Amino acid sequence: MTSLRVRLIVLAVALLFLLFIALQVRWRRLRARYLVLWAAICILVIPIVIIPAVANGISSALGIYYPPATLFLIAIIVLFAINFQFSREITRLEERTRILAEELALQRVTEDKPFSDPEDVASEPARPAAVRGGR
Amino acid sequence: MSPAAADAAGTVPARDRTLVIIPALNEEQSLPAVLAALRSAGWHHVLVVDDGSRDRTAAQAARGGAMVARLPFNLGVGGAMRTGFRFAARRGYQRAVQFDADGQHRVDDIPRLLQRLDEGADMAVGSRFAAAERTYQQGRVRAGAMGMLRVTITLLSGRRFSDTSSGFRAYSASLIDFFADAFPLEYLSDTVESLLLACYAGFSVVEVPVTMRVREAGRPSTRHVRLVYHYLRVMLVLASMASRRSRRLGRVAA
Ligand SMILES: Nc1nc2c(ncn2[C@@H]2O[C@H](COP(=O)(O)OP(=O)(O)O)[C@@H](O)[C@H]2O)c(=O)[nH]1
Ligand SMILES: [Mg+2]
Repeated sequence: MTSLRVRLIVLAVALLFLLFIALQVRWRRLRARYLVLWAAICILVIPIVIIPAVANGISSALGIYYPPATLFLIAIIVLFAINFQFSREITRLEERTRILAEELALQRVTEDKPFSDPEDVASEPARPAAVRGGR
Repeated sequence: MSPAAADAAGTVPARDRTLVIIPALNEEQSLPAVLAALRSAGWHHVLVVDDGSRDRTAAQAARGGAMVARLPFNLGVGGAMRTGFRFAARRGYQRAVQFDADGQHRVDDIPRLLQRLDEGADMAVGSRFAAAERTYQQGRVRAGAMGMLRVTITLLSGRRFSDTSSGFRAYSASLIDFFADAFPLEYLSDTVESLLLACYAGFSVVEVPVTMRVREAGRPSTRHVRLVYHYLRVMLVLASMASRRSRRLGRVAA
């Protein structure tokens, strides 16, 4: 299947990428947990591409007649999964940022309290903590 | 002060246990009149949540005697309201009223919303369309989108709401606690999704017919194309919420 030249190129790219992400971590542009993720992907990609038997074996196991299609399929699934995970992480980060913003706003209310002072309310005993899910 | 001068606790008048929450974005022109109207009607506990306005909204709010929570950047009405609910929950307010900064809501209607809370509702929504005669003019696109939404909500919640986009609402203490944590944050979800969320969680939601004025100043925050996109998003969210549709819907008061 894939020619020697293509395999060498892929190998070189994968190794360069490994070096690149290692440097990113060293320069603190990437957290170590992502180093693990991307390094694992690189290291998994290498045997699949370099050793034709691997891709051929997976292909025939899946019933795919054209081994390169197997590689595309794997790539798409992996990228999809990673992207989805990133969406989840962004959601979590955004939620945290929002809570920080809200808390900051609430801190500032008590600092520069204007004319009307809710003293009477503040001195009331606070309600017990919220019960989630209504009644 | 309040006609029902003292509530169950006996000492603190109802108005002093109610927080009026005003989400505001670039409303320096209309805010002073709104705050003055609230003050003269006896609502002294007003929190303006300034959501990264570029004008003097926060300064006008402070001048008008309101408490001001300034968010460092724009979170949208949902984030602003959650901030307000957090504040209300921590200060022990028993009820909250959501009120627009643009002068569209009438101060005189507030007691009518709160009365429904006294009668046991958790959330009272001021509806432009609950009254027999239509008093509110709106654009075609918006009317169409709202119509579609109304149908969806009727299907999902099994009950009719005539005005799902109203931002004029009163909330009970337990709903304040609930929303301090769970108020939906995405753009436009503060209206529809919050309504359904309250229903799904088993709170009782009622509508109260009110009249709303046309805007006094500034611009409505929603442009048409964006509006359509966001209504689509809301619909998808609603569809995904449908799977959580609870048996408790039957309990929701009409
Ligand atoms: N905190 C906050 N308030 C907003 C934002 N956009 C609009 N508002 C306020 O929400 C209220 C309702 O907005 P408006 O544009 O009148 O919506 P409409 O009445 O549904 O057309 C007004 O008090 C606005 O100032 C926002 O991004 N953040
Ligand atoms: Mg308005």
